[in-house]
Amino acid sequence: MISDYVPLLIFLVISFLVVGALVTASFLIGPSKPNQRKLQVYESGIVPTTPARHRLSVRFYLTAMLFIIFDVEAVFFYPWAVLLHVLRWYGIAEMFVFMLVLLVALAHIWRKGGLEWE
Amino acid sequence: MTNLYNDPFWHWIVVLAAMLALLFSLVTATAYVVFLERVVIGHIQRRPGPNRVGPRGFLQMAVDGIKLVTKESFIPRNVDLFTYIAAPSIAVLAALLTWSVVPFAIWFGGVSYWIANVNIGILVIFAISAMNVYAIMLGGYSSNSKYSLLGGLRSAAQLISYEMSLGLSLVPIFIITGSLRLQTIEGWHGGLPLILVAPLSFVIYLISAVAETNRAPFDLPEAESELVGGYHTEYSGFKFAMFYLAEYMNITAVSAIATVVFLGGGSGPVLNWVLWLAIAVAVFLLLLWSRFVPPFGALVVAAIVFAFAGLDTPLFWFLIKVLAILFVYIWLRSTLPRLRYDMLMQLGWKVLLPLSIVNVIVTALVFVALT
Repeated sequence: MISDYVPLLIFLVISFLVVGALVTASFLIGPSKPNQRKLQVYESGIVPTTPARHRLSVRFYLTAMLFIIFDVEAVFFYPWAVLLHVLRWYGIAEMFVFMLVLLVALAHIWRKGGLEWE
Repeated sequence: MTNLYNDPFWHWIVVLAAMLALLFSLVTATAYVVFLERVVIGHIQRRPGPNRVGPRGFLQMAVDGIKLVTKESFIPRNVDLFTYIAAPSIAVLAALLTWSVVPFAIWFGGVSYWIANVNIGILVIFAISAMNVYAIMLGGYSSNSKYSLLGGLRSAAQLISYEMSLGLSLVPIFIITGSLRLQTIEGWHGGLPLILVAPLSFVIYLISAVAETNRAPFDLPEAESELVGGYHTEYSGFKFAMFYLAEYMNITAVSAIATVVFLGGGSGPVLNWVLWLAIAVAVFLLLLWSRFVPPFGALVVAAIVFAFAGLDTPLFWFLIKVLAILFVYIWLRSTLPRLRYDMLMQLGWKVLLPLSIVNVIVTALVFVALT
């Protein structure tokens, strides 16, 4: 029922207020004496010479793509799992076909070395 | 049900009061989880831990908190201001909202209280806790520091890798209970607690949850020896305190969810007052024997246990179970060394993910065959 979510909404508003108060307090409380050295980025005592925003390793991109595939799979599992006591063998047969496709995909990625991390 | 009174006005007053009480107790409890961790790790390493401020160091966290928030919270040069501030805010917001659907019912006279009782409680929790990735990645990216960037990236990759096994580990529970509603899962009556029905799920859940909350031995995002502070290297004062608060709130939240899903939440043996008195006396003698608190303190603790347990609220058993899981968390931290990053990713992708899929398959087959 949609009315079940009203407390959630109220709690969301309260949480936003709390977070807003915390952020505001972070500006108000405590001394503020900035100087050039202090505002520098920390790099273990060395003055940074290059900007920090480098190009990222493609590894992270690959991980994110694989995550999308398998996390969407996990979401498909939920409604199936809840209704399995109604679907029974029919549900098992249907889901196992889907799962087989994904397991083949996982095996393929594994063999191609997509899960290695050098 | 949440319908406390038929009068709608008083109903919402009670709901609001419950929310404010939850917020207050969350922040206090979080501080004492940190304290518990420091004391337990101290004793595991054969040193006393914090014991100077207040009786047995009990006020240590209050002092630490005041010191942390009154420190200068400066903003380094060249940061992306909006995302720099948004990151700790998202962290705290996600940590608070996760608690909104956790059923920690207190009941008096058959009426129970909780914030929200929604039919997709678990999904709400997953949806909200997934926002942590944003907090960590934005924090790392906006800081304009190499350590922060690397820490944030690593952490994001770690979180999304373990999120799959975390999500899949609970699928057998949904198969068995046939519901996503946390209250239904908690009240599932199958003769056994769900941890014994689906033990593999519990193990996978616990490992993934440790990785999801960036705790040792999976605390790679803040591996001090290589990344200084990881994604929060450039955060100081209050903003750092927000990240810190969020981390410990998340730890308590995943422990609470494990309690609700696997350990039966607030259910526990129904005892009469004589047995409660016996338990209180046992607690008193144990504390006296451990010499952790002076005799008077032990008496106070025993009295609190007796009074609290005597109310016969499910909150008592709920808190005991949450504390037990928290203790395992702390125990892990003080026992296991940190994993190397490639080992961490391999564990997630090559061990936990296939294992959780197999777990789903086996549970589904056994479930349909038996029912």
